[in-house]
Amino acid sequence: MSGRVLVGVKRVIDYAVKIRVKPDRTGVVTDGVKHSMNPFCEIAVEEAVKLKEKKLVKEVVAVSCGPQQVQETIRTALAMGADRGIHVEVSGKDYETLGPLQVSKIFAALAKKEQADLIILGKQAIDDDCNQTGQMTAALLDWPQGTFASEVSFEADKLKVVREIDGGLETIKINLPAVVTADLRLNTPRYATLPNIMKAKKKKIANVKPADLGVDVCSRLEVLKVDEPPQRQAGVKVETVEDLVGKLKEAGRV
Amino acid sequence: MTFILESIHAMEFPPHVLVYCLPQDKKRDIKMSNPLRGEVLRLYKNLLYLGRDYPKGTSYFRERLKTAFMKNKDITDPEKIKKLVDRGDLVIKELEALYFLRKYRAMKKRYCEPEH
Repeated sequence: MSGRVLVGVKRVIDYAVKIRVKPDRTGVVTDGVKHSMNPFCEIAVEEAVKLKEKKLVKEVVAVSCGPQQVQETIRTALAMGADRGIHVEVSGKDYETLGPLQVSKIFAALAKKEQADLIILGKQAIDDDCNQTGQMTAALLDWPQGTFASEVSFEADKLKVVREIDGGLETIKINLPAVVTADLRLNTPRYATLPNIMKAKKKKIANVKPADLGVDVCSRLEVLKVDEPPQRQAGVKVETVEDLVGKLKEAGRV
Repeated sequence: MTFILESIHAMEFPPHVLVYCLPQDKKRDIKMSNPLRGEVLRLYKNLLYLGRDYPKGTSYFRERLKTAFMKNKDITDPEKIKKLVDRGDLVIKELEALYFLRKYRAMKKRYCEPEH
């Protein structure tokens, strides 16, 4: 057991920003827009760091895939307590089409290379809302998975995960190595303050290309168009019940 | 722990958070360098960094931060300065809590089923 945890972090448009669709409807405006770490990834990093502080794991490695700018996101993870970072360089067209399948292949390859015991990811990204990377990574590695985790603990040499499911909570015990995806109530992520960011500058970020890991980032999906949700129609006020029935019949609903 | 936080009332970007009076460093007094100068500078830099995520905007925050610091630039008593710096650290904690709550509430609204 190497005691190494891989944490995936994704650089996404900040959650508080109002999203605008590009005029050519091929995607969303990202130039000049504030970006930050995916909130669920923050929770994942916090959990990994907490496990290290409890001395249950030895090393936390933050990984991100993308162009030069994702180094910012890795630095935030390092400021939160990760030991070192790995930047998987993907840029241009490849980055635009990068999705869960390619990322999970990259993570699977890295997990084998770094001999990781645990992979913690956010349950989904707030930009694409795929909720697939964790599950795909576990499948590619043939590792057990504890998804939507709201509590993670070690019991002997197994991992006990309390999962948030429809209608309540499910507790499972899985073998290590495993993949865990973080849900909202797993923990309270610490803020990466300036002094921590400064200290994190000493930590290393390694650069890797997908080809070095033997991963093909070619996408199997093509985005045809991106549209805004339909504008809400104004409601109509009616005076009596007869009017209401009349209007409903007009609309063909009755 | 998150359930305790949920019971805290929504902190609606209280302007009083920025009115905490904090002393300015005594750069201008070249003869007597206050030993707390480093502390004050550190506090100012940390607050400025936190202000980047302020909901009402970075410039809004920066203006009020500067005003708050300038208000107390003539305080020399190290006791008073220390007290104000401590209050400044408290402001940092309040801001961190504000940011967390805002994000948590937004994520909960978007991704969690409403209870009953």
